[in-house]
Amino acid sequence: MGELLTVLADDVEAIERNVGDLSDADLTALYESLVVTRVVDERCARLQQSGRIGFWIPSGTSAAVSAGAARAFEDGDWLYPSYRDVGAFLVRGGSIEQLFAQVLSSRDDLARGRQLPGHATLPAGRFVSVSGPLATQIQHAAGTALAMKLRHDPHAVLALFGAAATDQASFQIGLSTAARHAAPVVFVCRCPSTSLASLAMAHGVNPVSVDGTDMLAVYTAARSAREAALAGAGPTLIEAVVPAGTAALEPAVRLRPYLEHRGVWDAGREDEFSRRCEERVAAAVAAAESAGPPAADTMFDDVWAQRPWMLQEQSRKLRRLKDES
Amino acid sequence: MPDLNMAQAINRTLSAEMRRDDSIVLLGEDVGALGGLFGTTEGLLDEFGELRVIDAPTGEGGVIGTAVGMALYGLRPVTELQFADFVWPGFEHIVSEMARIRYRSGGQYACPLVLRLPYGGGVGGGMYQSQSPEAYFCHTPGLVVAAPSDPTDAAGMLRAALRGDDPVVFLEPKSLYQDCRASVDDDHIVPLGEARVRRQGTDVSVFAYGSTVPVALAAADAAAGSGIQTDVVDLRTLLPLDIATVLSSIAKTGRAVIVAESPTYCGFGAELSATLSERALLHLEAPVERVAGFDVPFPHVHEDDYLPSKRRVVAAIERVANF
Repeated sequence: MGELLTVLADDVEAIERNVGDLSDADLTALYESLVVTRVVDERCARLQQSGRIGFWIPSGTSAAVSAGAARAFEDGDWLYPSYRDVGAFLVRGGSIEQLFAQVLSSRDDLARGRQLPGHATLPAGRFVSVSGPLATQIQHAAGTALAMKLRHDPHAVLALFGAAATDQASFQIGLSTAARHAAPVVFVCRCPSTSLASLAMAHGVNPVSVDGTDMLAVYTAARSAREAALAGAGPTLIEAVVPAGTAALEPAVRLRPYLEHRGVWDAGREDEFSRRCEERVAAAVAAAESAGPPAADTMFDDVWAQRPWMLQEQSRKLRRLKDES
Repeated sequence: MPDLNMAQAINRTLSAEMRRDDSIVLLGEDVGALGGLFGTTEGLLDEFGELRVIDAPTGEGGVIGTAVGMALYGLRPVTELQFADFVWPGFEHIVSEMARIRYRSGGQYACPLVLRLPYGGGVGGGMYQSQSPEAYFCHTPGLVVAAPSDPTDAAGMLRAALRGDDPVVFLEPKSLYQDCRASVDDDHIVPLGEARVRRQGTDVSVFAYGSTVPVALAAADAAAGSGIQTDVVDLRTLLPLDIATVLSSIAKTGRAVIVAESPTYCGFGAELSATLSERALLHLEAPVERVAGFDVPFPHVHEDDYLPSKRRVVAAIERVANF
């Protein structure tokens, strides 16, 4: 991985030159997001095994990429995530309670139980509803960035996706659209190996390759790419490389020594935080399950801005059916 | 209130609405310097500049996907494709994204995008410049599907689309762009979801939309010569359908002919026919007839035989009247 941007492999002075803008609290929050994501993945795997949810795609080693990239973006920036972006969801202000309301389709889910677990929505964090089809969000990110440019909005857009998305036409089109308009957008792809640099350049997009298990490298690359995009230097494609077979704990193992060096983390805090996190997740699961799902009639909401006549009729029909049973 | 043809009416409405609402932006193939393949965006680049009138590359999937991202942000993009037949690369963005973002986000995001599609035959365009794709879109919850048939409605319906909150597939019958002139009022709004009875009659209802409305009206004139009084309903919006106007017409006549250019099988006429049998069976005095395209790809040299002609519509009117 000699070609990959790394930060955590350097000595402490070099690390601090790279991430001097991050406070102790920032660094701790980044590390904590890794712990939360791990606990969430573990809990969701158990929920799936026990049949309480039908589907879970773990963030796994993507957690550092997701949260690290998201942390480089400001309030008012927009994020187009995929379904491995629990890390970004947390960084953008999403809570564990909101996450499990979505995962378990409770009545408190902002998306009203309409999407599979992991397809979150968080408008307050400009975290756009996760889509099922791969790569469509890459084009939407380019469109939103173009809109920002037209409106002289001094913000940027982050699109997160996995390597499979790069097989889709929307990936190519999104890159070329963003480059043509020098739109303020940063694309971050989780990849098992480097392969996208020449493709990015062919579309006029700046390529950067980083070690995806190095959270601070991802953060540094995303921050620079955001600044470049806002300065009019065009979009960047960051390929965050996480080799196949990387252990899920690797990003945390890599980041922790630096936090310990700064005196903001240690084994005691790790145990304490993990325990509290487990408790909060357990409480969030219990709360979501006891809240129950949204009323069936909400199925007819939000299709159009108003319910047209056929939905009004179908709603009445469903209500009669349920009343009879 | 100038007299304009449909292309001019659309142009004038776009211009007026863009002056009124600075969140409206146009993007599409040749909408800028060329002024649109059919002239519907002429002069708008000069008036509004290249930040609001954007010449997009020819990838339709790219234009529509980009517009979805702009609409999510809060703009009101209007995308024009050269031909409705080229919409398929953008189908995923229309069906899986534009139509569904409001729903899948629990109403947190909306996608008020107006997708303008010049559609239909009658211009010698062959199978890739003539299709009527409305049935594909009408099967998608979340979309509004509209097809005007004259300049006044084109302006009023486009204005409603531009001021509404839902994504609209706006089907413009390209054979009618220069067909006739009518007065266009800059305040006129035709709410989407409202049909218009274009001719009153008590014997047979003819349901048409977009390019088949002039055919239906001509057929109604001809049928009147043999004593059959035809109620011609211009549906205008196909999704959601104006069910009240449809049912009130059939209650009056008990006989229905549906006219569309698209292939008959699973076309919009199938939905309308099923609706009549479910909701108006006791009014019906004859089988519901569909006069539509044949179930073949849109022909080239045999276009005139394929399209619903006045003669075919008159024959259908006479069959149901005399059943």
